[in-house]
Amino acid sequence: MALTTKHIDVNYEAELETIKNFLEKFKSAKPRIEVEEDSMDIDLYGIEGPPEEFSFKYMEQLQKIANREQDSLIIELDDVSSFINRENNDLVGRIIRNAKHYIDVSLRATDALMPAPTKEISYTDDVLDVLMAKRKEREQQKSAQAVSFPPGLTRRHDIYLKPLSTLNISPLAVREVTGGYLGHLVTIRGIITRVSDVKPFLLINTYACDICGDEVFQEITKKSFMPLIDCPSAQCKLNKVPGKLVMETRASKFLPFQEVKLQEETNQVPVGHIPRTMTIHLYGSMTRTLNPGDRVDVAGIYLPTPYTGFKAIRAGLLTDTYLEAQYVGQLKKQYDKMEKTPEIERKIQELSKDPNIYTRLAQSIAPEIFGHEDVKKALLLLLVGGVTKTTGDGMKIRGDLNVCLMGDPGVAKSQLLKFISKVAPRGVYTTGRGSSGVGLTAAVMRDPVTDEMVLDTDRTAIHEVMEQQTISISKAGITTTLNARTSILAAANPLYGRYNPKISPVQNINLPAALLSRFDVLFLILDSPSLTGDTELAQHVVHVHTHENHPSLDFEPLEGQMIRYYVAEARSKRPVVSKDVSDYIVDSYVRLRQNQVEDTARKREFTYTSARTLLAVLRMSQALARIRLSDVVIQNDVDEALRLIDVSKASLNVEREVVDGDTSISTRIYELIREMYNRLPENEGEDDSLRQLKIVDIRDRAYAKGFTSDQLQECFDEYSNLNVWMIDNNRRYLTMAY
Amino acid sequence: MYTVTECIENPLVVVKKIFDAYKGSTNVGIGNDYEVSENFKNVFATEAAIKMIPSINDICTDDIPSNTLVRFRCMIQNTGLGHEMYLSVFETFDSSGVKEEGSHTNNNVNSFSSNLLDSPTTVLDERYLYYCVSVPENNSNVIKKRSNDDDSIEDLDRLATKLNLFDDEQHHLENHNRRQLEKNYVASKFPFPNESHVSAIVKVYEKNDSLKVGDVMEIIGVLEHFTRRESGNNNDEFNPSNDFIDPSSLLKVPRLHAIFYRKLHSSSNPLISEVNLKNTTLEVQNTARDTRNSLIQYIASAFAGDLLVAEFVLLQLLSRIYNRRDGLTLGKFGINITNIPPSSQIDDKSVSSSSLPLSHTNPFTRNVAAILSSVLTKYHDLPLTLSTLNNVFFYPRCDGVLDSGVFQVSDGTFFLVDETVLKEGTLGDTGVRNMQTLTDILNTQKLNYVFPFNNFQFNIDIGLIIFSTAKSFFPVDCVIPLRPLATQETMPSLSEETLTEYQKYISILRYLDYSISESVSEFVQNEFVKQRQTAAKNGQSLMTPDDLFLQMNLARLTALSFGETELTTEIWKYTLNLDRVRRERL
Repeated sequence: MALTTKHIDVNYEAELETIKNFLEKFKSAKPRIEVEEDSMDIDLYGIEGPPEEFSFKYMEQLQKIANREQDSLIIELDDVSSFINRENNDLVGRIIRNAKHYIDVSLRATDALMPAPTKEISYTDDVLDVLMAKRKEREQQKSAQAVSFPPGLTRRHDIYLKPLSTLNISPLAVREVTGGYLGHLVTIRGIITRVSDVKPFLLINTYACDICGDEVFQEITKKSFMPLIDCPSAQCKLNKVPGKLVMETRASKFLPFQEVKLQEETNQVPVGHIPRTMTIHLYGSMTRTLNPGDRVDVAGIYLPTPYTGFKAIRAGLLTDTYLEAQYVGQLKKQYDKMEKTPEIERKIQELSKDPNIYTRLAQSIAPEIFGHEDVKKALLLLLVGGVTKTTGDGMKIRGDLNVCLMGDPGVAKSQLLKFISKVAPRGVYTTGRGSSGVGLTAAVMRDPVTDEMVLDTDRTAIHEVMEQQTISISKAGITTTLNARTSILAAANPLYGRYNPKISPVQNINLPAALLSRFDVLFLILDSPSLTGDTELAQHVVHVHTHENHPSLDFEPLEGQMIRYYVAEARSKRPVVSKDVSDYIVDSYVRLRQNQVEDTARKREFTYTSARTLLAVLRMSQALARIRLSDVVIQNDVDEALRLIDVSKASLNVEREVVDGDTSISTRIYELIREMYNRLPENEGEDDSLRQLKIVDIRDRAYAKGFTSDQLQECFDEYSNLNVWMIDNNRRYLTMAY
Repeated sequence: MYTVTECIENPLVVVKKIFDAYKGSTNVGIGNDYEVSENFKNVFATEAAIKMIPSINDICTDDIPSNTLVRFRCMIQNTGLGHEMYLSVFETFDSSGVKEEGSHTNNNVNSFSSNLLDSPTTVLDERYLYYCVSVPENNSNVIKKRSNDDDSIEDLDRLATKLNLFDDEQHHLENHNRRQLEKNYVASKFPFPNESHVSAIVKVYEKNDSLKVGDVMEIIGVLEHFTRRESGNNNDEFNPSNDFIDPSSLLKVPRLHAIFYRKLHSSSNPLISEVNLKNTTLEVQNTARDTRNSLIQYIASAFAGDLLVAEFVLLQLLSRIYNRRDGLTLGKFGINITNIPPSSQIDDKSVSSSSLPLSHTNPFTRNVAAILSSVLTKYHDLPLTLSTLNNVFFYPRCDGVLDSGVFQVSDGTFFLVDETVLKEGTLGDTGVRNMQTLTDILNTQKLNYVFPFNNFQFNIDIGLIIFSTAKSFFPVDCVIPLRPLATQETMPSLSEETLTEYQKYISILRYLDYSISESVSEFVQNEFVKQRQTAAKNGQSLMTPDDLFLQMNLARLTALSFGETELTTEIWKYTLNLDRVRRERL
């Protein structure tokens, strides 16, 4: 991609006139009333200013500049484009391709157009003003041989170009800015990584001659310059004794200058490459507009700087390049505020019409892990979250859901976690052992029992985040408490390798009950053998190794990116709960509490229904409404939320179906009956007669399995006393209590 | 046609001739592409011709005059330097009239006359900058090996004498020593701290996005020195651009103007060339079973005769990431050998001094390291002391220009991580991040490059063997406790040929393709289901999918270790048995 130099045949004097014309005649792009052509005659310089409807955008600004109320003029290329189009002229294109030069041209235009100040300007304001006044005085005395001041010295403004706002010009990445863009006005996107101090940049150096007293001006256009030594004035030349020039710092003109580094963003760098950086120079009023960490679109002129000094000897014909900033557009700072393309917008609309969107999204979570549908649904709700409310007195009601997965090793808990951490816009995946937060220290300790080295990590932080939704940071003697709006998704392995169903989850997990109770939903995933499940599992693993990819699925999962967009869209909704629905929730809650009492009576409660459960139901219902992209929570949402809570409770209450050797005979008979009961067809209506087991049938099965009549009788009695089932008075039917 | 000597000694003259010839032959506008690489590739078509080019890996760059053609085996450390603009075709006006110059010659024109840029024939072009370092590997070992390698060193000497590089063998040695003293590199750009290496800024004259960080290749290009004159005057004038990033540190690094380059065999083993790869592979496969046994014996000698551990170490040496898809990292096999005897004498002085290169202090580990480095092309020690954790960066980070970290190595590099030297204490920020880096690599074989406000993940493929007394910190794929048999066997000294055989065995088998037939996969599936059914009945622990995953991986490595490329039921049973014996030790 060689670049040849070419000569452009442009008449800059004509261009100057065009720009002058533009600045003078351009009317604000947004007039409230379409103005007649003859309104041009309006008195521009009237003290009241022109009526708002047809303001002369640039002349007004020039007036402000003359009045010292403004120090920069931003020429919007959009304006130029709309002004010029009538004349069928590619001025905008020429400006973009040769921006630096056109700024000079524009400066000449503004110098010529500069109106007289309409306000009294105090000449004591500024050293330069004082000097200028004196100089003018002296010039008038000398009159004849007028020394011309460089325009830069008297100029009190800079001109910046604002690029075209047309949508089809997407900002470039640093690596896309090639030599072809030299001299062009380009827009570059990236993240600001470093910012230098603001320093004075010498624009015009003023010298005074120690013999004739003449002032000599030197315009500086480069980073380095050769100071003048001999006085060039006519008087000194005449005397043939060249006077020495002394630099007058106070009379020189300086410009604030700042250098900034812009680095490419993650999505702009091809895989396996290191991001590139670009130097940006900020002058005048552009300084201090960029801060480290800003994601920005910077429009600027891409310029070369030949190496100077010793570096030039080494570098020879090389040039370094930089961008002279013209316009800064800050991007949204939140990383989770994602910009949607129209195509994604369309896809989201399409998805929201899908009645199965809830299931489809849930299935798309870690699609390579099959089963666990309800767990995935809960995870989806965690991503979406409920609505966070702040009550009048400043109390915050948490909207974020916390989910905990417990269970045997190897049931894909961590895969689920990792998937969620990837899909969530700001997910962080950490493990309890061997890791800690960044910026913190950790203690290495030897466990005296196992002799293992352990990294001591602080679990108290997670308590605070979950309970108070705040995080306290103490560093260098200062403690601050920051708000933390987080959802916690946790996975826990049982304390002794495998999950022991005989003890409670709290004992199994060895996490404080206070912590466990903060989770809205707890799931227990057990690894129990089943012929079909195991075969599928094995097929899956073997397939992965044989064909080096995942087996194809029977549905088309949504991509992680799409899930993220959909969730972002869903999170923008704030669904409300109507009176009817809230009554319904209250009723359900009362019912749950009732069940709780019964469970407690039977001593098999692992979880506790409390006001927290009510909040959990509410949050989940809201999340479900959000998934429908709806603003109202409906009864179905509540039902589904209740169902999930039920499922999660049921998962905690399961007893391992493994027939252990030490299981009592009663238990084994109970398992048998339970299994028979589960095989019964679902009851359709209210007719409970279908959900009854005939004692005769049970007897047959039990005898066939080798149990005796006494054993069976004992089991009947034992479980009847526990209210697990009821046997009618005639001892003909058995009904399960739950 | 140009001669080899001409091309090596005066490549710029050759480039000029090619340019003139091109200019004469065509009237089309002069671009940059006048087939310099093609012409040079023709000259250096044979391996022998390429061996004639002095390699800056072996000869100190200071002893090679500027504008000589050199070759450089290197790893790309940084692709973020971007591009620079230069005049590829231009005219200069001197006494002889109009003279046109081509690329690769920037230092020929010292005077920068203003009418130069205005010339209508001037062509501005871009070239792409890469910071390259010599392949991070076990230095001493490879240099030794190269010297024994065919007759290349002889050629080098002959050529060097011709170039008046050095007079005799004595001088040659001195050069090596001098390289230790004079640093033509920036220490922070090499993965291993305080280790001497060669580095260069390589300028590539074509846009090529396939050159990635961590790629290993051989570059043939024109050397350009930094001159001493500048080194004394690094402080440029009042240049605001030097405000916060100091590019002067990069100034002393020699430049290499690439004429052409070639990617090397993934193992970076100089014994293997793409040319006779097929024959070598067959040869290695045929003798695999014998080599396997003797190699296990050899490795076991460092593990007090523990053959099982030796076998697992061998399998780890054959592992590599062979596929990544949908978040899966197939083939990763980080192992943890527990029950390693800790170092008896505590030599805290040498441990705590962070200025020393990374090397093991535990004598047991050192023995193993000696064995590993003798059979691997790319191997490095990594003792996990508190001071290394807190002072050495494991991950590359950017604060201006990218600095390297221990794990910024090319694919197929092996580390022996020694956790036995870790004492109780506090980890600082760097230490915590280093731990996280190691954990990430073991989990996903991805390395995080830390940039301000952004992190970039890069896929890597490195072998990790972790030594610890009890269970390790890190999430490894496989744990094997050591059962020492003998007290301490004396290390066998093997002949060069045997070691070469071992090196070839590992370098070749590691990259073999592997497949599983339908019938075997059916068999494996059924075995898994059966195991779970019986285990459930007998109240034993169930096999999890993770276990199956590990066994599939082990089976692949076992098959490769026997030189097989397909899984058979015999190998599957052998693997299961191997895994069963390992489990019994837990």
